[in-house]
Amino acid sequence: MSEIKRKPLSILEIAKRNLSHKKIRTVIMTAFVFILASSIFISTILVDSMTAGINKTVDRIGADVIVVPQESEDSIRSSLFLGNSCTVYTDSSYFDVIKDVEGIEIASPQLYLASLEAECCGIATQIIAFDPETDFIVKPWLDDIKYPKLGYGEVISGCEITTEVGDYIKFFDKEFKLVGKLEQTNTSYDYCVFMDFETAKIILNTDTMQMIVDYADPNSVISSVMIRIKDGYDPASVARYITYKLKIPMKAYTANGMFAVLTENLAQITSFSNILNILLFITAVLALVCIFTITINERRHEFGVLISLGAKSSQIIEMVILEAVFIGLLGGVISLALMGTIVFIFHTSLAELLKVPYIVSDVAVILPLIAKCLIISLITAVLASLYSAIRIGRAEPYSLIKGDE
Amino acid sequence: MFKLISSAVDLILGLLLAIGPWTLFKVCGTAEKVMKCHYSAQAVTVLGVVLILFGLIRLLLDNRKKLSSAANSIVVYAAAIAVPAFVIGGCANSAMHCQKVAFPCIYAICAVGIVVQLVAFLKARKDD
Repeated sequence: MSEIKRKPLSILEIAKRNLSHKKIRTVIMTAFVFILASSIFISTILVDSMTAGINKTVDRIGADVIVVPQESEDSIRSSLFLGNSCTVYTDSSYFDVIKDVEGIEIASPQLYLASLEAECCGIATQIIAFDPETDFIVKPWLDDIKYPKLGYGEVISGCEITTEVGDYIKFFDKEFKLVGKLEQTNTSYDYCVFMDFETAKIILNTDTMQMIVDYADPNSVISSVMIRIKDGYDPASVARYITYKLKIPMKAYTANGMFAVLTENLAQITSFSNILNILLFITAVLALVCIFTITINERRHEFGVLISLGAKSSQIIEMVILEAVFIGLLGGVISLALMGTIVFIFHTSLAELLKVPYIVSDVAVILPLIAKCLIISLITAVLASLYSAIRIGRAEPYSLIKGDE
Repeated sequence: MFKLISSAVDLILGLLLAIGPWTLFKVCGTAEKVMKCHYSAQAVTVLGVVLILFGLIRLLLDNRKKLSSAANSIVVYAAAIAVPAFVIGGCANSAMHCQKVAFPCIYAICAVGIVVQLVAFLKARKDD
């Protein structure tokens, strides 16, 4: 005769069976934890991504002050932060006015040109030209890749440009030799191509670019001036002086000031997400408290019978709390597995959708966040069950069997 | 009931994998140059058709064979992930449409398929 295998009826086993027996109740309670964990996970990822994006961009810019044409500040900000390609130009004579301002250690012009989108598999690329005589931004990167000086017709690129080092890259039907690639920075520079002003003149003198850059002398244009300030001078004061005292149509920003709008937006988003998460936490706890209270009241008779059969009050409390732990774990694990997979797989599309340079998807960042969300899920569920658990633990077996509330 | 669900999942996801890379989540175009993502999409289409066949065949199988059929589907979904990720690949630039949209959609579809067939596999083993 075959023997029926039975698991020993432990408190853990009873808690599991209670949950699987009341499927709808379990699903609804799990859903509350799921929503809470997902909200915390997504909002933290978004805020972390924006913060990391701003910090990395400011670090990578490497200048104390940036001077840009007044009407083009949004284009350059968007290019630096999100990598949106732009062509910006103004008269290079303004550079001569700026470089002599007191407090400036070194000033270097840059030129931003957007390549055309190739018909097939190309995307518009941001070309950044620099002046090798004065440059202090690109030179350290050239040192990093052990390529001391770019020759005529030579370019370097960010790591996301697909052309192999040594091959030629085509812009406006002109070929340029790619001599090096920069390391990944997770900033817009990963998608840029860098060249010196002499090489940029090849592009500026093409028919297409002469139509785009509608200027008397396309060879005498710049987009921005990057400035390093002398020790002892305040970058903000120098920026104010350039903006208000020099009579030129350019505006100066400190590196942080350039992204002040984004920092303000970030502060707002952080506040909103914190408020939303707190409200969701309260809602989830209250909803779970209600469900626990109602269902445990319905089960008073069952608990009374268990106590009559020899179960201790502490075991009843343990059972209710274990049910809450399972719900917390289930909601948390499902939410984090789903959200983690979505973030991991769709991080590029999400970054574009949320207008951030990139979505933090490093394991070193994600794992602690997952742990934090799981702990919050568990705390929520356990907190919600405590009231019912303690109440049922204090009740007399007689009143439980009678079903008194 | 679950046999029906696992067959339906293979049929729907197989169909998505077969036609998705050319319609819903297109890979990069071939106007100027045929990129690697195009060949990845072709391979994924073939795997999608295989999954549709598996879905149809599973409806006719008994429980024991259902076990191996679910395992086969898992292998095909894993292959559909491996083709764009490692075997053939796609455009190197992560901003390209294939890397940004098409491949992530293929990975997501396959992840769902693997989870469902894994549950089907475990359930069939338990019932066996």
